Amino acid sequence: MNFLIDSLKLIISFDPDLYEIIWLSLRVSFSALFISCIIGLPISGLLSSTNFYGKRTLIIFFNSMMALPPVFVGLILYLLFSNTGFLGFLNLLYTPSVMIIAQVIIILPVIISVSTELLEQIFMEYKEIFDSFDVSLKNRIKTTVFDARIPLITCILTGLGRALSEVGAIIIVGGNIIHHTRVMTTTIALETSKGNLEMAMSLGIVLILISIGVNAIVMTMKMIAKRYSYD
Amino acid sequence: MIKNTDHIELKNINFIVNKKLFFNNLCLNLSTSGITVILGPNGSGKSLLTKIIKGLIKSESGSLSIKLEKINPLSAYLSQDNVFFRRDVYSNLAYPMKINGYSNDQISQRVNFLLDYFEFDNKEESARRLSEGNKQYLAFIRTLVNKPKLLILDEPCSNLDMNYTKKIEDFLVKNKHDIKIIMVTHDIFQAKRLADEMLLMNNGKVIEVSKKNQFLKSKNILVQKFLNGIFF
Repeated sequence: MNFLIDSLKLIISFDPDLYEIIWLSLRVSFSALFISCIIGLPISGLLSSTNFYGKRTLIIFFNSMMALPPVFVGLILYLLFSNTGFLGFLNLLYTPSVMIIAQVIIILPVIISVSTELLEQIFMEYKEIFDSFDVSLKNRIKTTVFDARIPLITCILTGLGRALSEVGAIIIVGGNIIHHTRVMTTTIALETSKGNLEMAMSLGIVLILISIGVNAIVMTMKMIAKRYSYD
Repeated sequence: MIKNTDHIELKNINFIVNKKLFFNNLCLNLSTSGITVILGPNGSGKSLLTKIIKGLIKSESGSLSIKLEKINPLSAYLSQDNVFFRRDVYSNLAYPMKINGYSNDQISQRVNFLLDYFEFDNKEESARRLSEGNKQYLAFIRTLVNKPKLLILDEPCSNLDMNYTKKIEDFLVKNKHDIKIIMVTHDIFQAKRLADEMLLMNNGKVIEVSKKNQFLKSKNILVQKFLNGIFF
């Protein structure tokens, strides 16, 4: 019980080491989420509103990638970015940048798969209006994504959840270096193995609080949006 | 050979429904002015025909050629399913103009004119939350936003009350010299009120297409049965 009180003390006392780790975690995960949305949503828009050879195969590919083991992603990126690797000259190994790349690879399929399914439903509903007014592909995608913006928040949240809880890939490519690439999940793993349960528990509590906080914000946004929505 | 005169012509249209050839070498010439009313029992191919004319569905083979005032006309289509974007009434009406690059002033002028003309005043309400009748009425108004020269309407008044039906009919009669109208209806009285040309379909075949007076005097047994309210 004592370690629980000690861990709460760490949080309340604004321990600089703890908050540095929290800040880096949020920076990495939100950056990865933002990049994944920028890349993923147009791909989802295209997949949901066009028919081309191999489209189903591509959707199956992205669906399968959702189950990609993060440790394997970490290993591949390690091989690519290590000194002898193909992209070694970029000197990105053990930096937050490569941690963001790892998280993008992990959450991009989630964003694409979940949002494609949603956008496809809305697109099929609108298809006859689009066809009858000869709407261009660009406008079809824009309209569908815009009208799906509220349910899309849930898809994005799913991606954020995956990013925040990820540990396997970032521990390999980030190296868990103190003051540099140490984030919440990797610290929990390390401190637990060292027996420093206060720190591990503090970060666990913060992770849960962030998760509850983000969900609460999103739920409130959705409730407000629904009140003013036209659905 | 490319025709220079105005025409609405379907030639040797073949269309398969449920692995059966539904339209088998369908050939049709429709009048290029006034109101053409398409009649027929359920499943006779009326809606399918309108979708082919609009170009929403491609036939397996055959050709469709439309020329009005010597050009390929801007057309608008009213479907039986009234689908709207997740937006208010005004935005739904503005959409067809917005994607064609009209300015906000032009859009506002046109949309407000139509809303006033058809006395539809719930412009800030969600289009998707309207009653079925209001949705159908709004969908009809939406077809007019881009000032089409060919209006294809699939049962435009099926859910409407007398008041809305009259407004639509008045509009069609008033504008039939400027807009070519092709319309599907099950209401034989409405057909008689509006039609300049009538077309009866059954099982994917055109039974008769002729001017209203000729059609009403037709000796064709199926036409006579249909006009007497006996469906086949």
